[in-house]
Amino acid sequence: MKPITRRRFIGVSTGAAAALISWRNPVFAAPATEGDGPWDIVAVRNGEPVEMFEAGIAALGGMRAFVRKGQNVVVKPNIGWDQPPEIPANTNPDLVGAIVRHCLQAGASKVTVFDHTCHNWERTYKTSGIADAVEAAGGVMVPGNFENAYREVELPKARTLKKALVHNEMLDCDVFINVPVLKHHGGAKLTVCMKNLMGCVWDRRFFHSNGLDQCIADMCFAPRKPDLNIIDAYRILRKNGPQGRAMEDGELAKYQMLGTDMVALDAAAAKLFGMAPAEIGYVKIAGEMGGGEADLEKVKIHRITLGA
Amino acid sequence: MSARTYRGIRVILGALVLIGCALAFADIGNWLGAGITRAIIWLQFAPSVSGLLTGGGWVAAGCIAVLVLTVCFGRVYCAMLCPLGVLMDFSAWIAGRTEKKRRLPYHGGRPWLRGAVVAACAAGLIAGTAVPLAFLDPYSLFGKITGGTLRPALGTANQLLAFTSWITPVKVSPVAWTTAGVALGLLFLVVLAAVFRGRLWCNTVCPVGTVLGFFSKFAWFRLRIADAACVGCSMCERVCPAQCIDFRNHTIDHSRCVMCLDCITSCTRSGIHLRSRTSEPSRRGTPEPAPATAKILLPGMPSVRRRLFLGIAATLPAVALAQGPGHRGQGGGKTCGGSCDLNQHNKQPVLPPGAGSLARFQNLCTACQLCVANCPDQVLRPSITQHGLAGFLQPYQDFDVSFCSYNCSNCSQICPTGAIQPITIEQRRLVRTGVVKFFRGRCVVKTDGTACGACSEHCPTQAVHMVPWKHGLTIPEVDPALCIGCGGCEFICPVRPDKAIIVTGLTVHERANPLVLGEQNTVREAEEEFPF
Repeated sequence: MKPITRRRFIGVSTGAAAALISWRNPVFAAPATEGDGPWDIVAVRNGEPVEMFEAGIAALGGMRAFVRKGQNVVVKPNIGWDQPPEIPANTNPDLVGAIVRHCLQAGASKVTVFDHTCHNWERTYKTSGIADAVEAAGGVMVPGNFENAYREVELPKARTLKKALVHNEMLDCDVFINVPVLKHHGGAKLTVCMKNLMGCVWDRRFFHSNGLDQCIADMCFAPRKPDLNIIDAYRILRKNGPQGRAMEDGELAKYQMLGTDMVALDAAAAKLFGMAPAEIGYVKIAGEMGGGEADLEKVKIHRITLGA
Repeated sequence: MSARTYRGIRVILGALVLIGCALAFADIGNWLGAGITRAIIWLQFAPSVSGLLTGGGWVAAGCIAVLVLTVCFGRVYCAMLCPLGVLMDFSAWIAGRTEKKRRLPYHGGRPWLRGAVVAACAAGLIAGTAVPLAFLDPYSLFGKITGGTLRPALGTANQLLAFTSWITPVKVSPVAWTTAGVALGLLFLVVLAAVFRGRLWCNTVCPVGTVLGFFSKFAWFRLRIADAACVGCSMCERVCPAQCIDFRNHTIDHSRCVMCLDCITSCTRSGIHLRSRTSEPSRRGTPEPAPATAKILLPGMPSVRRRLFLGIAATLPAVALAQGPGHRGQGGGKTCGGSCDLNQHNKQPVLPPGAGSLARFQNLCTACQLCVANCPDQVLRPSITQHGLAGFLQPYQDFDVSFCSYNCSNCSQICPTGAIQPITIEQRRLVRTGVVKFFRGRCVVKTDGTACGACSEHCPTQAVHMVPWKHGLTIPEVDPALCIGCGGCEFICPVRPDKAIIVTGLTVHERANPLVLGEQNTVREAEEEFPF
C-alpha cells in the first residue's frame, strides 16, 4: 500500500468531504422543473470560485467523466497580463488550483498549465497567483512564450486561419481543459472561451490583421478542441479590457459556467455581461459555421444557485 | 603576508571579479537581480565616479574605496578588481604557457599620451558626450565585449538546449552583427595587446589607469629595490607586465606599477619589498631613466598608428557633437501633411525611463550594456544608428522586439553611472519617455473593416482606448496626456510595413498625468433569475 503523503491525505479527505456534503444535499440536486441531464451548460452562481466549481463539475458527473486514470491533462487558463487576481485580467488562481487538484484526484498522470502571455511570462505567472496555486495543487507550469514549443497544424474547416503554429501541449495532451475568465475586450468586445484559445497560437498578429472575429471563430476547428470549458465569472472585467487598469474595472459577480460547447458558453457569457450574443462577431460567425450552438433557446442549461 | 599568498589572493579575487562581471553582463536569465549585480560592480571605478557625481550615494561610493586602497597600496584595483585587467593577465598567462614567454623590458612610458587620453575623456564629458570614455574605460569595454559575445552565445545555447525539460528557455533580445563585430574587435585588440605587450593598454590609454597611477605615485606602501641586494640579474624587469621596472637604475615607476608583485617572487636575492614611505631612504636626485634603450629594444607599434588612434579618440566627440541630439520625428516630421510618412523606423528612438533627457543621457551613458542584459522584458538594445554616432551602442527601446513594462524599473536600479537615474515602479508609471501617434488611415479597422484593438489591449493606462465606429466595430482613440511611452501599442500593432500606431521618443522626458482609480471591485446587483 502506498504511504499516505500530505497531498494524498488532503486529496482524499477533501474528496470525502465533498462527497459527504453533496450526498442528498438539495443544493446539488437539480430542480425537477429543469429536467435531467446531460447538460450542455451547467451554470453556478453565488459562491466562491472553488465551491462553484465543485458544484458544477459534480453536476457534469465529476471530473472522472472527463479525465481517466493515467491521462495527460492540460489546463489552459487566461494568464495574459501582469495583474493581480483582484483586477480580473486573468483566470481566478483558486479555481485553476482546484481544477488541477480534481484532475489529479481523477487519476491524471500529469497536469500541465500554460498560456502565451502578453506580458513577461514569469512575472505574469507569479502576479496572477496562478503559478503558486498550480504548484501547490501538484500541477506543472510551462512557458508558452517560445516559438520552439509550437508546431504548424492545418485547420481545413476554417475560413481564414487555414494554418497556425499551435502549442505542443495543447496538441499532444489527452484531455484539454479551457478555463477563460469573462472580460471586456476593446476590439472583440468580449473574451471568453474561443478567444482564450488565441493563447495556444504563436502568431496572434495574424488574427488581428486578417479579421479578428473570423480567426477567433476558426479556432473552433482547431485539431484539438477543449474537452471541457470552465468560464470564470467570479470577477468580471467590465471595462478597459482585456488588461484592466484598476480594481474598479472588476465586478464581483460570482458566476461560473461549465460545458463542452464553446459557442453556447460564449453566448451565455455575453448575456451575463449584458450583451446580445449576436453582438459578438465571433459568436455569430462560429454559430453560422457550425462550430457550436449560438442559439441559447436550443441549449440545455442546468442552473444552480448556491446558498439559496 | 608573503608575495606568494598575495599572488593567490590576486588570482582568486581576480577570477571572482572576471566571472562575476561576465555573469552580470551575460545574465540572460536574470538570476542575479539588481542588488547582487550592483554589488558585483560596486568597485568599478569609472561608473562609480559618474554615479557618485550624479547623486548615487553610498551605492555608488565604490570609487572612494578604490581611491583609499590606491593611496595606501597602489594600483591594487588594476591588479585584481578591473575585469579587463584580469582578462589581460589571463590571456597573457595562457599565451605564456603555450609558447615562449616574451621579454618585456623597461619602457620609459608615454605620459603625454596618458594625459591626452584623460583630457579627451574629460573634455568629452564637459562637452556633453561620454563617447571617449565609453571606448576607453575598462569596465565599459568589458561590458561591450561580454554583451556582444558571451551574451548572444549563451542565448543561442539556451535556445538550442530549450527542448530538454531541465533548461528553461529565456528571451534574449537579438544582438546586431555590428554590436557583435565591435565586441569581437575589441576583444581581439585587448588579447593581442596583453599577449604581446602585457599591460600596455593599462599604462597608455586606460583613463582609469592614469588617474589611479597619479594617486599610486604617492601610495603609502610601495615597491622598492634594495640597492644592496640587487645583483642586476634583470629578472624583475623581465616579469613585469607593466614594463615599469628599471633594474639598471633600481627604480620603479609607481604610476605604472599594477601591483602584481610578480617581481618580488622573481627576485632570487629577495631584494624587492613592499615598504611604507617612512622607511624609504631619501634618494640623491631621481636617476635618469635610460630613454634610448626603450626605443631600441622596443620597436613596438608604429607611432603613426598610435597618433591615428589618438586622432580618432579626439575626433569622436567632435563628430558626435556635430551629430548632436537629433530631433527626428519630433512633432510628426517635416513632411507631415495630411498623410504622414513618419514610421517606426525613422522616428526618434525611446530612451529608458529614468534617463531624463537625451542630452543628459548621452553625457553620462558609457554604453556598458548592463541594462541591456538585465532588462526583464528585453526591450533595450544597443543603438547602432538610432541615436546617431554620439549614441553608438547606447541603449534604446526596440518596440519591434518587445515593450517596456508598467511594473518594472529594473534598468534604472541597475545603471551604475547615473545615466538612468534610479526610480521606483510608482515613479516609472508617471514618466513619459515617448508619446503615442496614431495613424487612422493605416489602421486595419479602417482599411479592412475588421475588429482589432491590439494596441488598446496592451496600453496599461488606456491612453489608447477603443471607441465605437461604423458597423459595430471599435477603433483606437489616443489621449497623449496619459501616455507613458511604453511602446506596447507599437509592439503589437499588426499593420505592415508602416505600423498604424507608434511611440516617438521624447528628447526631454515628461511627467504623465497620474491615474486616480478606484481600489475596489464593484459588486454585481443580486439577480432574481439567471441572465441566460
